[in-house]
Amino acid sequence: MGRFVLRRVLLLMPILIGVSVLIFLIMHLLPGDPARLIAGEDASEEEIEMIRVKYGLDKPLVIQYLIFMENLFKGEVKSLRSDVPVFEELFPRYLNTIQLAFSSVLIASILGILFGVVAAVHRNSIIDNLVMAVSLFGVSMPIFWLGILLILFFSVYLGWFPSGGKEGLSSLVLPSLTIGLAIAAFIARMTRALMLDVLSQDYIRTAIAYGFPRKTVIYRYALKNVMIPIVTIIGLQFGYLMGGAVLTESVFGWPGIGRYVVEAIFARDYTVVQVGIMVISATFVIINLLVDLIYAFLDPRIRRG
Amino acid sequence: MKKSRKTLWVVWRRFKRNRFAVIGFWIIVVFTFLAIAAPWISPYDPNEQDLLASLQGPSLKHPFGVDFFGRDILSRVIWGARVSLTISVEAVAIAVVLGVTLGAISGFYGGVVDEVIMRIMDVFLAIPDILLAIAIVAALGPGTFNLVLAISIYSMPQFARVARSAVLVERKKEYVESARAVGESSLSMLFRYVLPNSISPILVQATLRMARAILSVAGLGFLGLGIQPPTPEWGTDLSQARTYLQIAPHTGIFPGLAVFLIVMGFNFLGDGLNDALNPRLKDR
Repeated sequence: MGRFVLRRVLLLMPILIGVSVLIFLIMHLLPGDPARLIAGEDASEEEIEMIRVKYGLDKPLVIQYLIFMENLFKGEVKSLRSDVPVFEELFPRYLNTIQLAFSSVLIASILGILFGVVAAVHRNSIIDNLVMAVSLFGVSMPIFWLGILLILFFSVYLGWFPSGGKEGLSSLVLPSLTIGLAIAAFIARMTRALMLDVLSQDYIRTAIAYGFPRKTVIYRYALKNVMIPIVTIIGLQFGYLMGGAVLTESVFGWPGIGRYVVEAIFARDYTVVQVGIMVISATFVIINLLVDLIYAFLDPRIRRG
Repeated sequence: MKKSRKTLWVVWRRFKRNRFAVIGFWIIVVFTFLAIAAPWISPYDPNEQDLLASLQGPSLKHPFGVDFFGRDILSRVIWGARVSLTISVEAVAIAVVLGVTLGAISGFYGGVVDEVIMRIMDVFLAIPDILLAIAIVAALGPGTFNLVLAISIYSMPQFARVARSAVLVERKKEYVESARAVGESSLSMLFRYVLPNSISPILVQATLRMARAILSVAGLGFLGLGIQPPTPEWGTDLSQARTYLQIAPHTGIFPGLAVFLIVMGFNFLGDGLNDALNPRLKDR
């Protein structure tokens, strides 16, 4: 297992480096002179030149990248707007996004697995059809529109939860419900399909034929085997989650990293944009790795194969 | 020719049996019609402002109501179809050409070429798609062209993967061996025989990618990074509606409903095509 983990972690490095290079390159496609942009409209030629030297913009692109990465690891990359190290501003917002992500995954897993299992066990019943129909619509739902609909119903119409901001637990409900429902639809569909697959296997039929209680067979044996792929599916939804968080945070004014990046774009604070997108992508890549490792831990065939 | 027509007929019959696929097909037909016929069927000019009617709810005169600037929402939804579909079709078309070419070369030649291309694609896939689009638009600025570029770049790796695996399967078949035996060159073999036979997974992927492209156009619009006002675009209109949800909930309903329906249409169609073209996978 140790060797397996080490190999996977080592394989991660080129991807992370690739991601940072790609984002760095994209941000340098920027038309016009970045030094002029940073300096502002009424800067003199000397001021622009000073900024060019200060930010190393007079050097070749490769060197600029290396300098940027060095500063990034030292935590010295600064926001162009506030001149504060980016990580200082980013960290509390990152925690907010993680908080939102976890509560969304929690909601999605509970609802998704519950409805998926119930639908599979009562195949072709009204519940099954209902779950399938709702989840079919759910996977096509634009996440920002779902957010708006939830605001309209729970905030404007019923007045139960605030429509935005971050004050206490109640403000977490609607944003996590928005992302959670969108992912739950997908998890429910997958759970149902996997569960039907397992339930038709010989060992399950044998167990039932031997007279084991049906409930025990379903919930102890079948569900256990279904959980492995489901964990993977939930993990892979994190990418969607991270992207979805950018939109959801904007709908609800949730002070997370996604909204921070979008605000930085409008403020033309390109270092924040660059670092923010790198951090979100790195999180996504690392979570995918963790999911793979958990999968290998749960299913010994993977790490030996 | 005769044989391929027969195959098409079989595929069509299988496709027709799938109720959702047919619904998806018709949703797309309707939206395509709206997009093409917008100038003739839209009841008002989508940018015509009647400030006295600002935020009025749905009525006979304005079935979907009026937005803050006094513009008819129905007309904006109809014109929005044109904007959204045009950008998405262009983006997916570019992604297909780039991705399929790269993937086909990768699968056909294998070796170092394959490694290099696919590892680069892995890097693209490691960034959540909407974020990659945001990065590109942030660097280049909003606007139609940049939006098309952003969406096509993040869609490209998917096509590369699909084309690569399709080519890997085809490459081993007998007809490729025969073509090689009679001295056909690699490249002409790739484009004349291998790719045309790999078309069905690419078609399915393109349909499903249309759904994501439309979601991205609207998503970026919602963030203010997409099509800029006053051009009628569903996402942009929704983000403006957000401000007035308390007093005019109708403004937040219809543009979103349009996005939802058309995305659903493409998802249904994609799944249906997948089932019809790959019957073996049907029950999975």
